[in-house]
Amino acid sequence: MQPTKTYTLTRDEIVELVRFKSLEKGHDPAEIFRNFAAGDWRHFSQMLEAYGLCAMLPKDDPVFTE
Amino acid sequence: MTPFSPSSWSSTVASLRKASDGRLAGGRGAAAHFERYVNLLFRLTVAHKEAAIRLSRLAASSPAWVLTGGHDLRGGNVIRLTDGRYLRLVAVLELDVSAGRQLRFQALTWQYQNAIDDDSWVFRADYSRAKIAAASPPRGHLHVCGTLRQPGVLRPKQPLGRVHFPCRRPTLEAAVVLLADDFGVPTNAPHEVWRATVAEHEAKSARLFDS
Repeated sequence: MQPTKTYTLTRDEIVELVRFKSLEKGHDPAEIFRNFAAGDWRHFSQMLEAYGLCAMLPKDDPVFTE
Repeated sequence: MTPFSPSSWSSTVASLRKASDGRLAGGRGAAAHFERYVNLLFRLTVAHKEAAIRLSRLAASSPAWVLTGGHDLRGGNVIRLTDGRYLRLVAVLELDVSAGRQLRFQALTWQYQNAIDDDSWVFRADYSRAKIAAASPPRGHLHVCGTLRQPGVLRPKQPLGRVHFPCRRPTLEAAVVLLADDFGVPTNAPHEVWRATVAEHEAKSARLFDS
């Protein structure tokens, strides 16, 4: 087992990562942001990292309503 | 002293115990202790020597963290196992302010896979602290990718893999025991070492779930 890597991310890096991971799995990033904001974590297992990244952002971040 | 003797693992076990206590102490340091605990738990048990995990957090203050398998932020979420297969792991953690800033799982998934891609999954446990609606599946549940021998039991077009078998708290320790005992995944430490350690900490890990 290798040592753990810890990443400290900016708000913009998180948004970009969520977009990347959404598109990688064939989902519209805007839909993932909206789902998170609505508490509707559909595709739960597949998209959980993206939802977890969303959970780091303030609930009133504009990305959730764009 | 050989690498496989119980005494050679004593420092790992001691470090794991310290990390376990730290994750349960709560506060902002709890996530780092949790990361350390998971790393040592898998090092002691079913992780390949090249296996890796990562912890992501927001630069500004945030009460949430994400721990996943793998080192690459744009990569997958898998931990390479000693049997050459993979465990996909994603844990979303938060500090529960209503419970004295204790560390809790907001959500968790772990999935045993035959290969690195999702399509090769064997079984998966999911846990979500939030239960969205009455019709939602149990907070903790297990999926198995397979087929039933008895015909006509499931609804038409419902695969077994979509059945939610309730399991209250799918701990990481339970995943390790399942892999080692039932799927024959080799462990790094001797049986008497890793078994005693997992038994010591699994009950404590229940505190990371909803009560």
